[in-house]
Amino acid sequence: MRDWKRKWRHRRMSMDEPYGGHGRGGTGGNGGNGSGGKGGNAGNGGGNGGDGGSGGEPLQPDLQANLDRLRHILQDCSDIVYRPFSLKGGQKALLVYTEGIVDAAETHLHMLMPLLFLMDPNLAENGGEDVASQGVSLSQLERIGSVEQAVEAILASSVLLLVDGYAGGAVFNVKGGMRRGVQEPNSEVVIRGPREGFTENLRVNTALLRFKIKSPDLKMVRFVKGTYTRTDIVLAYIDGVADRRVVQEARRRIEAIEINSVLESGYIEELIEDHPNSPFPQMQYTERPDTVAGQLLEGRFAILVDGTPFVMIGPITVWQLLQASEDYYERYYISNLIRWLRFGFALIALYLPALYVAVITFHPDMLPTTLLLSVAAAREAIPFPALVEVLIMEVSFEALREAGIRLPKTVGQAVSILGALVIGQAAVEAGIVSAPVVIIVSLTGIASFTIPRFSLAITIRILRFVMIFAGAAFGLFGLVIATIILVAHMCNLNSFGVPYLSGVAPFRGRDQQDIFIRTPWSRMNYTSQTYSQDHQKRTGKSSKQGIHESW
Amino acid sequence: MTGVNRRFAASLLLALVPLLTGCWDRREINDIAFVLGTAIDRDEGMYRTTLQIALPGQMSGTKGGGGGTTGRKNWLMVSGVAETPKYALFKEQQMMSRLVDVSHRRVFVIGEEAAREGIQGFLDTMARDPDNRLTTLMLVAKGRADKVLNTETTLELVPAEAIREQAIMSQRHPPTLKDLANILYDVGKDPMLPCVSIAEMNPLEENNPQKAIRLDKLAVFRGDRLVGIAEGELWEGLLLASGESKDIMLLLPPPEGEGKINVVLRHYKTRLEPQIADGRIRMRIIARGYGVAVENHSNFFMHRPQDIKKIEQVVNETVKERIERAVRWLQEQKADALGFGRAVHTQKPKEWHRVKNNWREEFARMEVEVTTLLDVENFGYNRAPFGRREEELT
Repeated sequence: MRDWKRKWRHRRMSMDEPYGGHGRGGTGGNGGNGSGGKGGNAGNGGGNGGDGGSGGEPLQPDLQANLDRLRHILQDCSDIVYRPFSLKGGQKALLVYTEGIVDAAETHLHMLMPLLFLMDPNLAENGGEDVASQGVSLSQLERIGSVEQAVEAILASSVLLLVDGYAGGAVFNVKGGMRRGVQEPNSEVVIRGPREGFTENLRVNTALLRFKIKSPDLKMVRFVKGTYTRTDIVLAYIDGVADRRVVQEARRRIEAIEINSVLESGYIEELIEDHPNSPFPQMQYTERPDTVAGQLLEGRFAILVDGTPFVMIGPITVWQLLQASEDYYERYYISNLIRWLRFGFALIALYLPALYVAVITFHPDMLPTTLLLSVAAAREAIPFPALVEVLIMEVSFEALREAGIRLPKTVGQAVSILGALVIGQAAVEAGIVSAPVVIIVSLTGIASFTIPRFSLAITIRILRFVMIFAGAAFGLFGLVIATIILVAHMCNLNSFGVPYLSGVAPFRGRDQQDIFIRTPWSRMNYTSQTYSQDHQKRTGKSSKQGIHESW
Repeated sequence: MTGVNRRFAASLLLALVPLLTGCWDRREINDIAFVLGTAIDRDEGMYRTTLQIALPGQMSGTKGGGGGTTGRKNWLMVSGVAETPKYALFKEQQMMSRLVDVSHRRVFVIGEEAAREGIQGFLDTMARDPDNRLTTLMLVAKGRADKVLNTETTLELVPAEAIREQAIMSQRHPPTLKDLANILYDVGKDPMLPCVSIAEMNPLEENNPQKAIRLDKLAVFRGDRLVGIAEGELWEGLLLASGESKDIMLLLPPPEGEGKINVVLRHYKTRLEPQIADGRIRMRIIARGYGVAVENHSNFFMHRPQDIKKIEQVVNETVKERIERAVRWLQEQKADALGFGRAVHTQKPKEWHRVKNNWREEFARMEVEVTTLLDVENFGYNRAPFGRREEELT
């Protein structure tokens, strides 16, 4: 038993390579989790081509032997269903599937019923090979030849059909079972824009993209990673728009992953990003199909992972993390104003507490006199130095935020009221912290929520503390030095070969249409210079022949 | 230790280095005494420096409003006497638990006596120390400066702030320390600083009259020494001549009839034009601006265009006369407060090199011509004096 397992694992490790286009057969079609099992063949790739025969323990012609073998391997797996039955012609046959992840009704209607009652009895005479293709009314058929493939298929929501006397099996993908449906994404709410969000179901997610981009150039390359989880991963990009070298690099990195489990896209992110030790995110994640589609059309690639609604996008620049999908849906005046607001508040989120500490402890001469006097008045009775004061408030604010996220929604609100009003107010009245600090910390908190990408907001939260210490130790000089180091670090970063500040450093003229300003769509004529390999036209001349001319 | 460990340890040690400094010049604002104003006086041959220090705890914030006549004062006056102003400050520091910080000093008030003996001596104190801000306003006090600085002004939290606001209101560019330094280093201009004095504001409380700071004078220097304080019409004339006036109000006789008319001059400015005639330098002052009649306290009936012309004529004549008087006074004092020398220097450089060594004498003898090009634009809503019928008027 143990012996077998070791062998099993070893084999899986060596199997970590993409399936698309391989004639290997194997599990190629297993993950074709077409939405709800009823969808088309999406993702099957070339999987159907191979007819078993690959390495591993072959299936026996003897049905009982196969059944024993499967029972042995799937020992103590109580969710496996074995259904021995006789074909209409009399041969013994066997259905094996995993309960819950297979659409049982489909299986009964299109497999069990025809095979039991409707099948042409002569089909089984040619050794049972035609039974699967001609006796079953399901689309996603695949031939397998080994026990390992059989087990893998069974566990990946396929139904295995074995016919006595035929050394091979057929698997049908009838993915089913309960999974969350398409809902509005909670983490990225928009006022204007599509309300659908990705789900945990990979094929639903690819379908959501396909709904938006109906082009054969939208490629979705499939990988399977995780020796235990066998998680499907899809690399999506638009051929001809995305830079081929970048896509090639992403592909290489995903292929090189060796891991025993992939439960969320974050696993993949950490394994393939360029600088895992940098505080800055080098990939963007989103729950919104429209965001992903938009990024794909700008020449980026997306990585979809089964089991999570969060899709990763790369390569990215820091500018992109300050842009929301709504920027492109709203009219450009308001989009630009809001974008500038975000830039400003991103700086506030990073610097404000540090600036306060630096100015109050080192450079009170920088403040206008009246402002200084009111700050001094507020600080008169405070027992702590400004640094400690700010740290107390900042740390408790972070704790408050963390508590708010983890608590159930109804309690979360109570906590925020308690935290914000009661603690803040009481602390000021008790003379433990001064009112300006409360204002600054709340303003900083608000500012950090204006950053549309949570991953960048986290980075800024971390760096804010670095800035506070730099400001408290060396005043404005410390802030300047910390900023220089920070900018140098950002210049040094890249994401899949694309510089992190690309567009500004190195300067890309064509990208200026969508960094600090979002130009109107009628003027956004070409795709980004950073991401896209060719000068692709995005918009042509708009026909605005006025109806008023005929008035 | 392996390489990675060694690198890690080294970077950790490096990261600890900044902590060794211990934030050496960190100073919490609770430990700083902010000076808002300084008064300097002569006291028996020595300097008396008086600091006005803000007491933020009395001012606002969480403690509720301070100030007013009932509560304690919002400021503290600290005074020290020594041979030099800086040493006086050092003596004051010995009486205080907080470090004196002059970076927020709004005004620097010089006592009349100290100003007559020359201001150069203590300007050095201010210009040498980089903590001083160059935008501190410079003023002269009629009498003792510390008394003026300690006059409670109910409108502002601190008298220093009140003096600053008043100085800004009184003229276009009240001179700052930087301006004063420029003037002193420059040849061909003498300082002219606003001058404050104590006045009584509220006559109702006879026993305890409410004091106020009044800014209605200009102190004129020759070099760094105070030579005269201009008041009343002379003050008006100086403001008009220098173009520093800010919405100045002129009390005029009406062109016809009896009473008085008030005209406010707006967008007023002057230009200096040195001219050469018969080998001598003449100065021409050209004044431009608009006047608005804001009060008609006479029986002059102004409603026709020619009436406006008449008022215009009176305005022009008055302004011309005031400027001429002021210039004559300056020439008597040999104080070139209007910067005639500077004008000659920039516009007639050759002449300037001829006269610069003997400039004061040249200035005192100089012929000055005043040209006023003032327009009166309007006279408000009422044509006739309000409430009087046309027949009663001229």
